[in-house]
Amino acid sequence: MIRESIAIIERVRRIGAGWQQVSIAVEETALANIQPGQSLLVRTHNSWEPYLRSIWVPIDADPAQNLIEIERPDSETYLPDVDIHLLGPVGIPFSLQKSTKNLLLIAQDFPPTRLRFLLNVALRSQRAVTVVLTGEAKKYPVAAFPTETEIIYSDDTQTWPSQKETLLWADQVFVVAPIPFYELYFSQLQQVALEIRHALPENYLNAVYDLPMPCGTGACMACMVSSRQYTCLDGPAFDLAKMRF
Amino acid sequence: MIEITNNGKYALTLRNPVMIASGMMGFDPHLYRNLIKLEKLGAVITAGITYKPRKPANGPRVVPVTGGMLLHTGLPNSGINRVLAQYQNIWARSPIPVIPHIVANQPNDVARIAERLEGLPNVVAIELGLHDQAQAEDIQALIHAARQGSQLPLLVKLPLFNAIHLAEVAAEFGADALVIAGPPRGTERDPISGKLVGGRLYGTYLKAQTLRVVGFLAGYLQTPIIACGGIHSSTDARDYLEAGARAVQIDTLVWVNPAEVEVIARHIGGEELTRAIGALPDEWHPGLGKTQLMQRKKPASSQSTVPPPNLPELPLDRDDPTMPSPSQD
Repeated sequence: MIRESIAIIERVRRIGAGWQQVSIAVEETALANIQPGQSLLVRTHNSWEPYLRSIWVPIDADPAQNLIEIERPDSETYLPDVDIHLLGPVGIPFSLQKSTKNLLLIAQDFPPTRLRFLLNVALRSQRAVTVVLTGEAKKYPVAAFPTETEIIYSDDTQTWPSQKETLLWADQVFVVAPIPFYELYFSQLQQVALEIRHALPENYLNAVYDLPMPCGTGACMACMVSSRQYTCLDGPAFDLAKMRF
Repeated sequence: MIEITNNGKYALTLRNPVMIASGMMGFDPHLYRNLIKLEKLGAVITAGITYKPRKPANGPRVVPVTGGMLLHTGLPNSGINRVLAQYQNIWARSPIPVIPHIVANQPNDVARIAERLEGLPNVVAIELGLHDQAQAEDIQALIHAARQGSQLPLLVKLPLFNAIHLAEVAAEFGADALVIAGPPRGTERDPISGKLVGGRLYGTYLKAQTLRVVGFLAGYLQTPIIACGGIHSSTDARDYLEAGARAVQIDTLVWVNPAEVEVIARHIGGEELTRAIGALPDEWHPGLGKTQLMQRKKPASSQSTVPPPNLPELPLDRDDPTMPSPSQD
């Protein structure tokens, strides 16, 4: 259930070109139990510029220490011991099936930040994880990934070597793509998956939406993905077996 | 109780003159039950309702602008029948009165929607949202249609650009109160897609423009005015009341800083009390837990359940009515 609270920035460190990791201490243990897929709406300042809260995506959490790890672009400046205002958790956790042994995470032309928490959780539960990076995502500093991660880079297009084999290997797939091309990328991947699977199993191919969320409660209707579904309430992951483009 | 409209056949009284503007809590005020004490507010106005369903807008829907935002949702809703099927019971259970907002396009549709809203539990009035291009004859037809369909008090929300020209017409044709104003339209380039996006503008800068219009209209209109636009503090709300508004509606502050909405309602609703001696900062600002966080910053050995006496305090213009005042001791 979404709540408003204060957190403290405890540590800031650079994790590679363009990215930094921010550790925040949260007040409530319930918030520290945030799950992969959920995010926070954050205000770091007391002015009205920028007006909207930033979407902060956790890449890991330690409920025992009430700590959440966040990844942010290093163009932003954060200082330890500073209070920040949070709204969250926003969204519902990714549905990682118990039966999933092989997990495929695809960052299509978009940083894989939204998938990193899931990557960590999957590896901790002894699953095999492959990450595919295409387009802009190839600039991401992969040294930040755990060493057990297999990484595949795309060629100059949005496909990658052995695309069909990796999709067949995977028990579940999660894919992120950038605004404004996400529907194009998601529908292309849906088509490829349909060619090899004929019918998409439930929860197999999951599109992770990264849309602006002014309110995080479903009130503003800015993050609707269909007439009845909101990224902030029902997402961010949506089963591509049920999506029409 | 505050009289929002003038006494008469269509009188509307609310516990608090602070309302939530149209769409800020969607169709369901309970979305905010963990963020705002709803019972402290006067009423909530729903998102816009049309007779037939409307789909969400395609393309970018949110564009940041300096000190605010541009929003282009397409006013998605599932049409009056489905809206009522889904939310009628939720509205009945709401701790505050609900005012459905009708998107005023066709008089026939307005009359049919108003008719469906008549007699619903906890629905205390109707807000009619006029579009930017509305002319005097349109207003007459739309207000007449709403009156035909329902006996509920009728609030008419005017577009900011034309509010001065349309207010007198709306008042003459029977609006029980005027909501000044609907968010102005704007166009801005979306930095992500590079597209120009048109939509409704919200933000802090709206207050100055709206306050001017409210002050002007309140100077000669007998019809009560409800001010709406850019309220982000108790001072903003008080400025509107001082300019002649009888009540206020809070818009996007609900999204960007919901805790402040409760503070405004507390202040404007006359619930401001003297701070109790010894009240901790987070008892003064309920829900934010500042004290616990400050405790966390200290070394583990010095932590205790009792905060130190020299704990820095937050500004003293707030109060939690659940705390006893000194006079009650």
